[in-house]
Amino acid sequence: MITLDTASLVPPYEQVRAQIAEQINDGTLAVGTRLPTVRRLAADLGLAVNTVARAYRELEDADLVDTRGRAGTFVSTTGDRSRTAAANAAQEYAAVVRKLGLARGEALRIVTAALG
Amino acid sequence: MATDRGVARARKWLRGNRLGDVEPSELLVARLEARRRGNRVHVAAALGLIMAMAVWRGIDPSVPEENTVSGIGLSAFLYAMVIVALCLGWWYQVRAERRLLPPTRVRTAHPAAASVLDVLGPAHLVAGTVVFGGGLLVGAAGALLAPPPDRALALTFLVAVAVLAAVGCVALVTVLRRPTVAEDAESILVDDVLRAQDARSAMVPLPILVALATASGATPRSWVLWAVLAYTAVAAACWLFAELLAGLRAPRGLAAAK
Repeated sequence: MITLDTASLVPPYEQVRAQIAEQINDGTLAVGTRLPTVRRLAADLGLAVNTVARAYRELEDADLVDTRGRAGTFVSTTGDRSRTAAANAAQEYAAVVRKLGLARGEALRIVTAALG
Repeated sequence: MATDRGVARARKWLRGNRLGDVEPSELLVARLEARRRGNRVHVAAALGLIMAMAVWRGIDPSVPEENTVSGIGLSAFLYAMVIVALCLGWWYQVRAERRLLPPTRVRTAHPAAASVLDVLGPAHLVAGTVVFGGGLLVGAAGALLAPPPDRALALTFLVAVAVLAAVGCVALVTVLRRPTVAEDAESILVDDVLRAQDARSAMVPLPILVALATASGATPRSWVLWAVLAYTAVAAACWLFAELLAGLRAPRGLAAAK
């Protein structure tokens, strides 16, 4: 389920993107699942088509979804690869933190701040 | 503001759809009220169309006397009018439901696309295919292979089923494309149930009634008669089975159907 709160300070496209990304990452949306069309989701959530299109574009840039022309937008098979890439990046970061001698708490705070 | 009567109706509807543990929301009360009004538009439009046709047939002396072929054509036309009236009711209902949405601060939607199979369910999809596809097949076989007295009858049946299938398809697509009207997990489940009910209404098995009219006019002991009767029996059995299955199963959201 995607919930859109029109009173939220988070921009609507980001609400849509974040919820779909979360559901892909936790496996709620399985690989190969077809997402609703941009127009359909925009109509369901009462958003402009461009807003949903931007959320889909960002999901595609993150390799979480694939757009296959007129067939629609599907949860990408590269989702697992994305997670592997994130884990590799984390290992590299952990190595840099150890090399610099930073405390664990501070290193985590830096990551949290970077995630926004 | 929901009235006590509206809330009572909503509770009854929820119990009838095995959703007795869901508390009726103002949105659901308003939607069911919009549906009641839509049904009134549907009935009024159906009566209006049928009366207009009755007046036309009474006034126009050039219309031939009733015979089997024109009788089947007329009954199919009447059923098509009923579906057109149903579409008018839906149009009214969709407009009324759209007006309910702007005040809602929170909107919800499914993150996955729903197919016809998800909305109708496998049993109704198979039943619909048998009713409409089987009707077209029997009609086409009769129109191509039957001897002349039954050929015109089969051709009329074929055209009638084709028209009913086309109108049903348009109605079904309209239902599938209707935007979701929901603000939380419970109302999205209610929306799924309402959509499934609308989809089944769009595929009313009227070809079975047209087949009965066709069978009554077919040459006794001809293969066309037996084919139409067999079609009627199989299609009716499939539809009844699908309805029974839908009645036995607890409602589930479209996301759960995947």
